[in-house]
Amino acid sequence: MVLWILFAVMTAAAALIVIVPLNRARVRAAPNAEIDVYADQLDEVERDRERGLIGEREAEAARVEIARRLIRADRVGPVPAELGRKTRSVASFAAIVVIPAVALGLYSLIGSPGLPDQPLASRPAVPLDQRSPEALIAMLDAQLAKNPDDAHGWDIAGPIYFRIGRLEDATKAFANAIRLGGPNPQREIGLGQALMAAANGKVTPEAKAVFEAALKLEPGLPLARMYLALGLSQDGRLAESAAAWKALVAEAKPGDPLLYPAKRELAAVEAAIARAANPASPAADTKPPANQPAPAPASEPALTGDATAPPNSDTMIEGMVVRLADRLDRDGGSAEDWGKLVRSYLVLGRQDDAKTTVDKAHGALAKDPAALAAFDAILKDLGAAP
Amino acid sequence: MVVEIGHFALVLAFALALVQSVAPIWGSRTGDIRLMATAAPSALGQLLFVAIAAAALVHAHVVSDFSVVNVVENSHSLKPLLYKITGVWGNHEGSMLLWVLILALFGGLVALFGANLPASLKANVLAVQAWIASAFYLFILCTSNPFARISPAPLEGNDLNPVLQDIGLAIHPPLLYLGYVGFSIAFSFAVAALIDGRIDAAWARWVRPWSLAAWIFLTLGIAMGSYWAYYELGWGGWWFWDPVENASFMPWLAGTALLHSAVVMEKRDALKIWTILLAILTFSLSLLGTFLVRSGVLTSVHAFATDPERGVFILGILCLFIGGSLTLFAWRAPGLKPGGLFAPISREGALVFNNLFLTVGCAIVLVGTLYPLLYEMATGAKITVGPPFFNLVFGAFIAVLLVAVPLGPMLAWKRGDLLAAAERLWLALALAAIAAAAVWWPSTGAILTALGVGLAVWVMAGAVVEWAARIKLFRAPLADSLSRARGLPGAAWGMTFAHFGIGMVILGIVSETSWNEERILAMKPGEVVTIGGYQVKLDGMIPRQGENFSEEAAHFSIRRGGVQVTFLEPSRRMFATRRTATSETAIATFGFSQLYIALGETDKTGASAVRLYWKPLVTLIWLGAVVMAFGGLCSLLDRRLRVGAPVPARKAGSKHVGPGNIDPGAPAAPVAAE
Repeated sequence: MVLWILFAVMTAAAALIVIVPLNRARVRAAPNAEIDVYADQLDEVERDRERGLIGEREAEAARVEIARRLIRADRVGPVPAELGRKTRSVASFAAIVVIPAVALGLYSLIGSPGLPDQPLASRPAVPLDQRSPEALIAMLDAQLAKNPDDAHGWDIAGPIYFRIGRLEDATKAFANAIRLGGPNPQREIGLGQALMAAANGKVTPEAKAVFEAALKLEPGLPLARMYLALGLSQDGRLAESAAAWKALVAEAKPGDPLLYPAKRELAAVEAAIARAANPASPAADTKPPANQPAPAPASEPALTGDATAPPNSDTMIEGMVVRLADRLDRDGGSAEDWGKLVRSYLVLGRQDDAKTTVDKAHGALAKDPAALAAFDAILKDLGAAP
Repeated sequence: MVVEIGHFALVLAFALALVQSVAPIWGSRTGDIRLMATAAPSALGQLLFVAIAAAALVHAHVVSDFSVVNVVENSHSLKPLLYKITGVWGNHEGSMLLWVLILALFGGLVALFGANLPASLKANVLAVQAWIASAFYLFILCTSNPFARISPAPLEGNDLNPVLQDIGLAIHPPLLYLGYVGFSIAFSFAVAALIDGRIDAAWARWVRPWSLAAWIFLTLGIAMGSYWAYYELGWGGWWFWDPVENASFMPWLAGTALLHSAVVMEKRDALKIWTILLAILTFSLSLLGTFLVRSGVLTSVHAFATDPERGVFILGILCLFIGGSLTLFAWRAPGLKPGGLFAPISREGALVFNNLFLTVGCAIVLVGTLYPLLYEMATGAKITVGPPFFNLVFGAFIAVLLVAVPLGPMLAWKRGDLLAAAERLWLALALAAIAAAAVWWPSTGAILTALGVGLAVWVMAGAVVEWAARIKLFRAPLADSLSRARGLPGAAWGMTFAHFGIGMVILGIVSETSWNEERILAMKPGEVVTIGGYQVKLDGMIPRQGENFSEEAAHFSIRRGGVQVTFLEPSRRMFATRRTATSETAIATFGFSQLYIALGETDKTGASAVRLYWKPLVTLIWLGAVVMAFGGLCSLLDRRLRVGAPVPARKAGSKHVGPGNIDPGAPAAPVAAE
């Protein structure tokens, strides 16, 4: 309402701007401006002559020329007419009609009078879970820029940057968390994974050092050992790699999410050893069996971290799946998280694990009908009936 | 609410401009003084409403109101306040709003300070100004509305192009637009005069301050743009003959010609038709520049809008105003009688020479700019007309004009004596010859450099000699000379400064292109490089955090003869929101010369790519432009331009207003000898 009152005031002001000069009681004719110009030129000639800039004869000629212009200017010009009362009313009426009609007509087409201002500072806080991922990440960036010494903030940021593919930022975040909050196995593993992802799945010497540091903090940490074993096979140290995988398989309890990738890698490494020993034998792929599909498609970057991950980074992906499975088993999670895990297993071709996860999820979400429904909807999307 | 008030104010400004397009001109045709009197209040009202609209948009940017599409697309809540404000015109929609704001500003200034204009001329000028304004309001409201809203509002914006996050954006576009759009007043005066069918010496005097003001701003705007490109782009170049640079340079050339021909018109009542044509052409070239930048026919830092709909709309405006004004010119010009006569060798003749060369120079730039576009349109093949073409053709052509610059002011009005003028310039000629010889001797073979330096000294010394002759320096007692200097009109001072400034620019250009030193290398911390007689040592890298970027700066200490004179810290900035990096150069100025460092990538071994330049006398290029603009200011403040300030005695007697006759052409006579 206030807005429309202001619009009305502005429109009235615009109309008055035109109407007032039209209806002023008395109008004063402007002085003949040209005469002033020429009179001034005459003065100027006089000044120039006094200063000796021009000679007496030139000055005289100039005076004659200017005087001629002056006389002509003084002679011309009809005395301005005054509008008849009627014409004046027509003009005023046109102003009163045209200005509001154009302004309100055009504004009603393109304006948004119903939309209030929304300056950022005074916007109602949107509940976190309703914000878009971009907005959340922007908030995170802002928060970190403001408090660059907050280890907890970096702890949160690392995995997020990693998931959206900002690998350089992820590496920095994990490194900052370690620097500010001290090393712990989770941070070291995160840093190692980020370094690996940035190197297209290769266990670089830097990553290796990080995993070894993690192992020092928590001797026997399976994930760290897994990545180190992978690094050994990448370096061609197949025997050592095979030994490391064997140890992992041996220690794993049944149902351990690590078991599957460990067994698969072990088989691949052993095949490579066999081939190296007997080059004539039919070439068996050192890499995952043929029924392994390519890594998760680009539309699902959450687990691959990097949409451009090469096909041989399956093991790394599985490492991440392991972490997600661990977390969900331990702390539970939302319908989306469970859905993500199911999808990951499906993408990796591990149907049995997917089924087990669906059952686990149903158990975990049983108390929350809404989440359960959401989970089932996700399953429907995946084409996997509950 | 603020946003919508701004939006409505813009619509109201459009409505008011429509009325202003019709009522005053109706009044001037029927001789009605009341209808004519609506022009000035309408122009001021327009200014008020556009200012409200602009203030509302700035407010939306400052408070990060992401319900406005323009703010979402070009701002970010973390951006420093200065860039939140300058970002308003760092994009297409906002810069169009700045465009009409300046258009309205000039209209308002004519309304306020045009009291000395004949009522019908003033009414016509403001009406024509309103035609231009209406067309652009419509363009903004239909195709580029800065007040478009979005709901629900996003939580964060896309940020401004990091290259534009610089103090340059606060200065360059407003100055440039004040220049570009300022020439609209000269255009409106020309069209108004054609409508009235009356053009005489007084017209030139009235239009001169407006063209002069526009010219000053355009000069500064172009110089600022050049300096910005120089320090921001990191390649040490200051002029690239980029089509967009040319688009601002062409109105400058035409506008410079206009200033000179207006002098002839004011003093001698001659060159009237030509001056009118130049006024039309100058603003037409400004419009062409607007079209080139916004239609998407170009790809450049400046080309923000690539929407064909906008291109077609601006092309329509372009055709309407250029075609319309030229048609009016073709219809009316034959009815205008030429004024004073003059011999070929005379001050008028020299100014015609100046106009000829400036307009042909402008045509060369125009051809070089448009030819690749037209060629691509016709054949589909891409060609580029590069700097070599412009440097050779335009450079050679303008060099001839520059040789003549000191001679012109030495010639008398009506008929002059070239030999006598040259004789009076013997000192300047001698100085130029000495300078050229001094350059040529040590570096034998660099004949072009020697000629260039000689030309620069000739122009500068010529300006000083002319000034000295005017005040009879050393030929009259010093006190007499000083009193003459005090009495010298502002316009004369202005010419001296402007011509001297041109000489400075030439000297800067010649020196920079001839003696420029360049090193591109990978440096590790601790390494030392010698350039321009300075030892530059890379001490190390410093990571830093800005408000919305993180940067890696390199610390260089600069020594001369073992003594540290200063330090430089070029850097690379990474902007997270747009995921773009920029390179910030660091520049140290020694006298008029500059040491310039740009930082490239750092590789794994810790070596950073570094570009170092030693640019002797390079700052003269921009300082020269500032001196030229200062000359323009002197001329603008010339008291003789404030003609017709109401003198009470005269006011009572005169009530003559309205169109006069077409000038019958008075016999020629010299008016003043300056």
